Amino acid sequence: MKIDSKVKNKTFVIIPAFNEAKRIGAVISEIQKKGEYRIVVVDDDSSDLTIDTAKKYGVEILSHIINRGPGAATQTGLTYAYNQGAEYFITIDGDGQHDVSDLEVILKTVMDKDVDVVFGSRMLGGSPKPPLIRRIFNVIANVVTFFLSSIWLSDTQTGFKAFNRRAVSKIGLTTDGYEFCSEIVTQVKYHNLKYKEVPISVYYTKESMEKGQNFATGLRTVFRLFIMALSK
Amino acid sequence: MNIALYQIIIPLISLLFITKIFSEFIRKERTYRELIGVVSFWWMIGFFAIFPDIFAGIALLFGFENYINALVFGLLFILTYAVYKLILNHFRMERQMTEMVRKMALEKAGGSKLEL
Repeated sequence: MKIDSKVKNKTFVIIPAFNEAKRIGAVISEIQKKGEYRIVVVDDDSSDLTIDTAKKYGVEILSHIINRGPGAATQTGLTYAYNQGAEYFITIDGDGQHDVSDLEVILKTVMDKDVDVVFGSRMLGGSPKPPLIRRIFNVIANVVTFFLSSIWLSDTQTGFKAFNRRAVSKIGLTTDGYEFCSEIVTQVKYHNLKYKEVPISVYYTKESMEKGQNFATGLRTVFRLFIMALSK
Repeated sequence: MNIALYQIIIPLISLLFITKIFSEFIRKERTYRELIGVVSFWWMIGFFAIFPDIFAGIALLFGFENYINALVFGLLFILTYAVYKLILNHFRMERQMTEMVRKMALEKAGGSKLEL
């Protein structure tokens, strides 16, 4: 099934970005090759030339004046797209780790009436698999998320997700950091949204390994999720 | 009946804090819930300072060897709770900052509203 260009016009691809000047250009360019998607870059107070690089590609840019984390940047992008009348929302990392050719698979899945949220899973057979340390962090995050939401996903921390308008209108994020990934899953459960996982490919470079979640941010994420659960 | 100095000082301090919270409540600076919480806490401190034997009896009832253990346990519990409340306050302030940053970004991008 080919995706109609009208659907692509109503699909916003949101790229939360923090210091991605070296990589974001390639990501935007690859998405633009796939069709007339509305691309939104949310710059989270980068200290490099992320905004200037994104501007060269003529995409929509929003910028945080203070670094607030990937959760906050994603939420800003989702709100902006919602207010612009988006029908479908896709979030993708700005570091080039995702294969843009998976974008259409994710979009087709979320266009299904029986699906509100799609999680692109790096663990479901898409090749190559993430490095071992990332897989270990992911399993820990999956277990914590399962305890909070009673939903088991193979990759709760994926940045490649898709939502329909109904899902975005219901999901209200309250976390700013990487814990937003788990919060989305808890919101999916809370609002009884329909979800699906699809396999995606991922390419880790030395630079992308330096970013994202490490042991310290992982601990911080777990701590914040624990406090979040206690305060509810 | 011998009265120790702390049996006078601590109830006076309790009374001071109770008066303070009542005054703040009358000026509508505190909620009813805060009034109840603070008054209960300081009333209990003052009461047990005046009647330490009752506190020792309750501590024994809960299985503490002596009332010092119960006191330390109680203080640790209160401290933990205070830290938890501080963390929550910190998170709330961080969240407010985020909402402000997001609002500015959305307005700059074309007057979009923050709420969905």
